[in-house]
Parts: sequence; C-alpha cells; structure tokens
Amino acid sequence: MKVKLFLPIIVLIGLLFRFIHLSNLPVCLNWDEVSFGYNAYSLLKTGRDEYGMFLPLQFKSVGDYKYPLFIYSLVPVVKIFGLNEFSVRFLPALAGTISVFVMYLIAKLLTNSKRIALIAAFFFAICPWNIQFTRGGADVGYATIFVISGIYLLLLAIKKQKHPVWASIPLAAALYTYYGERIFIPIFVLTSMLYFWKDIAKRKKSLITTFVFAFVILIPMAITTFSVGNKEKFLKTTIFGQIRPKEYEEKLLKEDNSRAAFKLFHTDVLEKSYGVIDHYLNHFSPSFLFTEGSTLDKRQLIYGMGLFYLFELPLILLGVFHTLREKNKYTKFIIFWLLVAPIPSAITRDPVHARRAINMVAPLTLLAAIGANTFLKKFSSGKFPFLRKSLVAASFFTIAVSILYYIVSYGVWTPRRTYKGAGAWQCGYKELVFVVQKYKPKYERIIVDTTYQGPYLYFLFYEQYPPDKYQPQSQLVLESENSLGEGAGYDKYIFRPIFWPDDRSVKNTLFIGPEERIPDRDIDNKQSRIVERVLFFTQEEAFRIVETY
Amino acid sequence: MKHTDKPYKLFFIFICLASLSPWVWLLVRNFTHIFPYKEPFVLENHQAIIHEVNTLRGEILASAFKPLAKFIANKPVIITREFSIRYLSLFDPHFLFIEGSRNLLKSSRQSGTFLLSYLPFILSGIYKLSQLKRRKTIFALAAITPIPAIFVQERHELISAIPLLITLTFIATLGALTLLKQKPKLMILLILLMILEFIRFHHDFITHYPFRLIESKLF
Repeated sequence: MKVKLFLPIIVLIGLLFRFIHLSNLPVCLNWDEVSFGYNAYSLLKTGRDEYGMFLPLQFKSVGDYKYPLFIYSLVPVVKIFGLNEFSVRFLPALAGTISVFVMYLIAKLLTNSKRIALIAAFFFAICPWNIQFTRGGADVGYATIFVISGIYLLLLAIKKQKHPVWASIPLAAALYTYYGERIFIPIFVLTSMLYFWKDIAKRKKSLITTFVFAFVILIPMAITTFSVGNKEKFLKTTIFGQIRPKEYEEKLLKEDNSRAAFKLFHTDVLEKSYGVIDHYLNHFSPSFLFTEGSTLDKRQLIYGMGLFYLFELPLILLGVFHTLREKNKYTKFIIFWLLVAPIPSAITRDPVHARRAINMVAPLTLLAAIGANTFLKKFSSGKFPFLRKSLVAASFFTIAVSILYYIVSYGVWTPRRTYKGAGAWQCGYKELVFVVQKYKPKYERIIVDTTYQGPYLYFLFYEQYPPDKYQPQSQLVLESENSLGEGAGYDKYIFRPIFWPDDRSVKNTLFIGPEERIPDRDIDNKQSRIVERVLFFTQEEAFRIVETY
Repeated sequence: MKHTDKPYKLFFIFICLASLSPWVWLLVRNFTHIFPYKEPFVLENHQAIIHEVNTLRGEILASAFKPLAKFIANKPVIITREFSIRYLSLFDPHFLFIEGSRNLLKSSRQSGTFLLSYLPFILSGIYKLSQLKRRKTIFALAAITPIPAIFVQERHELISAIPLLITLTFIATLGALTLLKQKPKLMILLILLMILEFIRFHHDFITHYPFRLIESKLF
C-alpha cells in the first residue's frame, strides 16, 4: 500500500469536506456558536466573559455554563480572522481534518494493517456524523480530536509500552472542552484499564505518575464541576433531574387501586432505568445510524439519510462478525469502545442524541473499515473473476453515488428544512441585525421578541458591540426553572417575549418579532405599522419590524 | 448448535419465549379487532413518493447541483430510501424491546414486541450463529422476513412483521440454549429478570392497558 501517496489525498478529502462553504453551511450560526464567538471576542478585548468574569473556568452564557477550552482557543482565531462565521467554525473544522490522520494511526495500531487504516481514514474523512459536528458543532467537534488522540496515546501506552502520562494531556483537554466527555472519559478510561488489566498491572509506577499528573491538571475542573452552575446543568440535561408530573402518578395510582402495586411497578427508579436502557439502545437503532438520523433535533439532521452512509451498514456488520471471531484483544477493543460510547447520551433526557454520542463515530468507522477489508479480500480474487470484479466495481459505484447524495442533501435539502426556529439553525438574525441598524438612531426603544431564542447574542455578535460596554449592562433573565436564559438587553434593545395585545399601546417604539407574535390582523394603522419585513433565504418572512406611534 | 442438542429442548424454549412475548398476548387479546386485515400498502406510485421526488428535484434545480437533479432525485432512489427506512426500522431496539408497534391495538406501548430481557438471548444467539458454519440460512431468514412489512403503510406494523418476530424468537432460543450450557448462573439471573419483567408487563396489560384503549377511542 502506498501510504505516502494515499494518506495525504485522504486527509485532503477530509479537509475539503470540512472547509468548503464553511461560513454558510450549516446555513446560519446557532446561538451556541454565536455565544462562543462573542465570549472569545470579549476575552480578547477585556480578558473577561460577557458577564465581566475575569478569565473564567466556565462561561455562564445563556445559563448553560459552557466549558472553557474551546472559547480560549478561539481567542487567537478571532484576533486573526475577526468575529465572523468562519472564525467560529475554523477550529472544529481543522480538528476534524486532523482527526482523519489520527484515525489512520488508531486503526493501524489496533489492526496492524495499513490497508484497514487507510480505509478507516477515508471513511472518517467522508463521515457525515463527524462532518456534521466539525462544521457546525463548535465545542463537540473540537473535543473529538482530543478524545481520539487521547485514546490513541492510551493504546500506544498499553500496546507499545509508552508512558501513559501523554494520554492524560489530550484527555484532560477534552474534559475542559465538552460536557459529555466528563461522563465518557472517566468511564472509558476506568473500564479500559479493567479490559487491559493484565498488560498494565505490571506498570504500577507509571500509572501512579499518570494519575498524579492528571489529578493536578484537573484541579481547576474539579472546582467548577461542583459549582451551582454545573449542578444546574446536570439536572437540566440528565434524566436524573426529571420529575414525573403529579397528574401522571395520580392517574397510575387510581388505575392500580393499590399503593403496593403502584410502588412495585411504577417506581421512579424503575421507570428511569427503563428510560436509560431505552436511550442507550436507541443509539444502535439502524434508523438512527443509517436511514433517518436524529430527527428530533434539526441541528443534527441530514435530510434523507442517517449519520452514516447506508452502504456502511453491511460493512459494519461484516466488521462486527470478523472482530468477534478474531482472538485479537486489540481488535475486540473496538467493540468495547462502541459499547461505552453512547453512555453519556443515554443518561440524558433526549431519546437519542448524535452530538452527545459522537464518540461512537470512531469505533463504527473502524468496524466499517475492517468489514470493507474483509469484503475486498473475499471478492477481489478466486473463481468467477469477472463476476467478482463487477461486484467490487458496483460497490465502488454505490459508494460514489452515496457520497454525491450526501453532498446534495447537506448542501441543498437540509438547509431548507433546518433553517428556522430555536431548535434549528436560527436563521434570520444576521439579516435582522443589519436591517435594524438604519432604524436604530430614530427610536428610543427597540423591543426584540425572544421566541426564536437568543437574539441578544446575535445583536452583540453582528454589531460587534464593545464587550467593555456590554459587561456592566449584562443581565440573564430566566423564564422558568427548566429553561435557558435570555439577555435582558443593552443600549436601546430590550429582549423579551412580545405580547401584542398589551404591547401595541406602547408608543414610539420599534417592535421586532415573527408574524405569530405580531399578526397582520392586529396591526391597526392608527397605532402602528410594519416598516420592513426581514426575509429568510427562502424568501419567507422571518421577522417584521413594526413601529408604534 | 451441536447435533447432540435435543430438538424438544429447542422446541420447549421456543414455545416458552414465544408465549411470554408481549406481541403474542396483544395479538390474542385483540384478534377480532385486528382481523380481517385491512392495512393499506405503499407502492411505487404512491402519491407521497411522487411528491417527494418532485420537491427534491425542484430544490436541486434551483441550486448549483442542477445537472444532478434527475440522477439524484428520482423514483428508484427515493423508493430505495423509503423502503430502506421501513426495512431497517423493524430492527429498531425501541420497537423490538421498549414500545412495540405504534398502533395501540398491536402493542401495549409499555413493552416492546419482546421483553427487554430477550435482548441478551438474541445477542448470544447471533454470536453463536456467527461461529457456526451453517449460519447462512438463519441470517438469510432474518434478512428476508421483514420484507412483507416494508410494503405496509403503517410503520412497525405487527402482523406483517410476524415472520421476522418468529425468526428472532428462534435466534433468542438458540442464544438461551447456549447460555444455559455455557453460563448457567447468568442464565438463572436472566430467567429471573425475564419473569419479573413479564409480571410487570402482565400487570400493565391487565390493569392499565384497558384504560389506554378506552382513552384512545379505537373502538
């Protein structure tokens, strides 16, 4: 195998898949990305986050307490490229590209085969799941490179007797980058140690050194882990913070007609255990992986396909069977990795979550590569050469068509189905901010509706509002305990839900909101008028700007 | 499976597993409501498919990928996609082990078509099969039996999925037999779990399911 020729080509393919049209695909910045960008900008200009906290270890943002490493890493990027879409997405895309090379190294280490390693690198380079989160996933996409580098160094320490302390550096970096990794990495490292116990038991000294080193570099994290913000985040995100509605319990009790039966069959623990198992298993659903993807979250959706190509399904199955039949513990480790990967996602409230289960990508890709290698071995030589070669050629054609289908879906179909709304890519704000600038001097107050979430972040981001001026005005408003917050406002801007029956009587004010908040039939020309409509790229109305007098 | 395995053992375990399966209970209970079978089918010229092809093609035509419109968005591609979705959804763990069919007449919605404790049996059965030389027949059966269900309009439709469910019960039987021989202690634990889970299902089936049926106004 000509590794020196193929590997750079594969990495280049990975680069193209991650960088072409990076600023406008995904179609808009979501509020997490905007928040990362503005906080990095704020750090760059003042050394403080949007709330004025000096060099924080967690960023309060919209009340979701973002982890620090990605934001700190963005600071030099924002300095070089400015505060824009490209700079926010640059690092994850770069990390995704480098991951292709790391994938090659891991596959080679686990399988001792250059061919499998090249196939794995290629599959990773074109992997829709990884591309989805390294183009528009911000922190999670950035964390992936640390996770797989850490796992590579960990395996290197076990297999080639290198010092394990090197693995702790990228793994610790991942812990400082993305929330899900704080569950995945400890579980993965501890269970891997059990898995390879015979190999590492002899090297207690280097293990102790590694643990001490890891302990020291994780001290700052420990401080924030037990903070109020993190506790809140844990309860809001995981299934453990979910409380069953009273009406539901009362209904069950009434039907049971016996408290004993209720306590026996409907305990909270039992239902949550089923929930966790259900969520865990959902991540292995063929619909999720190969045909439909994560349909509940539009930011994770690739229209008309799953998170892997359909052609990878038989390859993964073949890879699983091949791996199970082999006696190589390093190859079997891939299955172990795959089984641990969805755990962080399984304990959260969402039934299935591509973002939190992103650590499944590498083991599934490795299995697909092993399967492809088995397939090629079996069908590239032997009887009926013409038939065999035709089959291999047909397979390559299928792969090419699948990739083309993905490109069209990602570039054309998906944006049209995922651009609108709070759970999607939140389009419309960028255009709105630019349009509002011409009206801004004429009005004393501008009230922006928060239905689509996070308008304050977009105004700060696209106006490049000076952080030193915003920090004293910053205020987070929580509508309910379980919701994320909204910035209350700055300068002339007030960000809150518009209630038009009341608000229309407020004079000399500019109101901005979607049609459902300011309906046509309720705009009385004696009181108010629409001064401009802001459109989505589909030419559908996004926001209307209404003045009252 | 070795030749020394007595067929009656296989048959006994198969019957046990089948008779504890929620889908069998649902089918027996609601037989008169489910039959005569009148589920509508999805065919090549289904209006939804034609509409999807036209919409997707129109969107490509308005983009930079214009020359690819007919190549990427056509009936064979969309039908393949649609039938792949239906075919693979029958292997969804949520359908098989957690909630079953979406139709309340064919699932209690609180248990899957199988009890969750069948999962280790099925996995063990697949593992066992992967090591056997004559595995192809069973795997071929598992691959072919979902085909009738992909033509039925209702997703996760139970009656058309019965051939698949029988095949999976057979794989679970093989797995149970393997575990019984190789890991008897684990098997005892799994049987206990299975009994507990069945009691839970039965409680729901007798106590809560009738209320859900009434609320659903299916009758």
